[in-house]
Amino acid sequence: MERRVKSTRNAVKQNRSRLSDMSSRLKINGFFSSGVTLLDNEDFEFSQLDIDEDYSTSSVTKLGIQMTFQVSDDINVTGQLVAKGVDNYDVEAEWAYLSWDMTENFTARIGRQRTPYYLLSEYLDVGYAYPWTRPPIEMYSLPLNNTDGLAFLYDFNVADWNFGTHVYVGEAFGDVESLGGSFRLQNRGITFTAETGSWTLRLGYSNSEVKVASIVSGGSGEELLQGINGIDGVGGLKASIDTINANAALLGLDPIASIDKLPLDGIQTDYMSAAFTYDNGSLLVIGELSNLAVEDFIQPAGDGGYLMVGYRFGKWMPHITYSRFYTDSDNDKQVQDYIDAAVAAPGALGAVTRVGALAQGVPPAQAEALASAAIGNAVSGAEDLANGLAPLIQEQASITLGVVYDINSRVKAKFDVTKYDSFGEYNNYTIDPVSGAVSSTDLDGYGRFGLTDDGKASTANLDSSTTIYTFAIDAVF
Amino acid sequence: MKIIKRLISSAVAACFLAGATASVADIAIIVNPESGLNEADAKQIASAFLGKRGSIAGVSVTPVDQEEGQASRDEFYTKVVNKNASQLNAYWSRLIFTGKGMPPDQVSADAEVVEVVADELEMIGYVSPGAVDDSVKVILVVQ
Repeated sequence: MERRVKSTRNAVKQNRSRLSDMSSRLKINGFFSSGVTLLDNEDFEFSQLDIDEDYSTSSVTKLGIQMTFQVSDDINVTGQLVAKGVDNYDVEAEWAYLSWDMTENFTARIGRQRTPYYLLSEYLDVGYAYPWTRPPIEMYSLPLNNTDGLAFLYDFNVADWNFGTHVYVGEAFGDVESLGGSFRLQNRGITFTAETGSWTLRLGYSNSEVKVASIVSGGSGEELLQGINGIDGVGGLKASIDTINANAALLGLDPIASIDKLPLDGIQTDYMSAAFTYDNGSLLVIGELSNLAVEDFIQPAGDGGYLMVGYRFGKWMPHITYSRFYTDSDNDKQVQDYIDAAVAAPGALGAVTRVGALAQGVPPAQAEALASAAIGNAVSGAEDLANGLAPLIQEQASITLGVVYDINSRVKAKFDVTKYDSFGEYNNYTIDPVSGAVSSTDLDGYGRFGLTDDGKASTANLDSSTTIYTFAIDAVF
Repeated sequence: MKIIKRLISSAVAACFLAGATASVADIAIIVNPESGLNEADAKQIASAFLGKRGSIAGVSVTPVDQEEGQASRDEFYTKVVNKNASQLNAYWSRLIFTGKGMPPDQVSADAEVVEVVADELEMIGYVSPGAVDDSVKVILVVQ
């Protein structure tokens, strides 16, 4: 009898240890955000997050579940599944990797990981982890945020400093709705962090080599590519200018500036960021500066940054953030070169036609008529292309006033009001259909926003600012 | 059996002493008696519990935490780590969801911390001073 009791006790003990073994080997964590957001202006929309003048809950709602299974002492497998309202709650594996602690300081990871472009990039979906309802859209609106590949992390301490290095290489792929296409990226990059006391400093550099995998028929990407490259090399701005210049050379006329075709692969994209946070328990300050450069392709790339200051009063933290973005001079020159080529083409075509006709003995009045006809035919395509490119020269600034309230230690309520303005102006080009003369007027810009396509937005009479209001509940568990 | 005895005795001690120490609310940092670590400052202990370092003064340490809602836990994180429970959860969420770290394992009472620290060489924990017995070594008391 006693023996049986003993053996039962032992069995219970073993069972318990196996249970506790299981529960300590598998860790489940999660995060959740929901709320409501809208902007106050019928002209603007922020289509990436489905924010417009109608209130929306889905653009704030996200659920993430992360499971980490400890395979052995030094190896674990982690999966993070995220469902977002903006993606119709389609579940996406944002992280799926095996991690190996090779030494106490050195970890290697293989699989899908979030690309550490900027300070907040790796935990963009975890609302609880940052003070705003959404990080500044001036910087944090990059598409394709995952890299499938290898990462190495090295951490070490020197006196009171903790240093971390993160190197990664891999590929990314996916559709980008706003660009109307799908892309493959070869990614690589490195980040450094240094922490001491209340301070954290971070430097990051990433490079992507982008390949256009496919283009949505009739999308904005196709318009741009066909407008410049033509279809299978026929038509398009590049071929037109080459033909005009070839004829100009035969006729002894000056050529106009030529342009390159837009490449469909090997597009180099460089992301740089320098950031700091200061958090002494009461005062929280976060600042970041970034540069995005895209070589040989037309994208609104440039400099962005923000500075956030918050102060905790018990469960409340009011905060203020200034954020700014503008496309830089390299980008603007690249865009302007294509615009200049597009608007110069009809006039140059007219000149070539006129001089060519005259050289063939066509009477001057008739040569003039032929030239005007050629210009007239070319004007609308050239105008469309130039005026499609002009809004890629962008700028905007915003001020966010927000407050965070700790409902309990795992749930926060947040309310942010962000006013976006300083959109600047861009040129709207008109080409005279008879003479080919180019004129331009200034239109008010709209920065990172899009114009609503319900016909309410008039480019000639845009409001100079818009405000987004967002209430959110963020939880971690 | 030995463990259970110790568990009971330290739990009893904790009950008796809880009243006496509650108003003072000091927090004692304890390690295994065999540990090479004899003293540490609050900064070093905070960074061990935040997963920023795995050793103090060359001695490997593994923190054992207490569950949310334990009085010692609130004392420890406010006084030693300078973070309230929300800030701590925000800190860990930035690490957990980026695969950069996991918070220390948790137990549910001072007595269990004492038990775990007494059992394993590298463990470091925090308890109210009343829970300390001679099975562990105190390396710092924070008021």
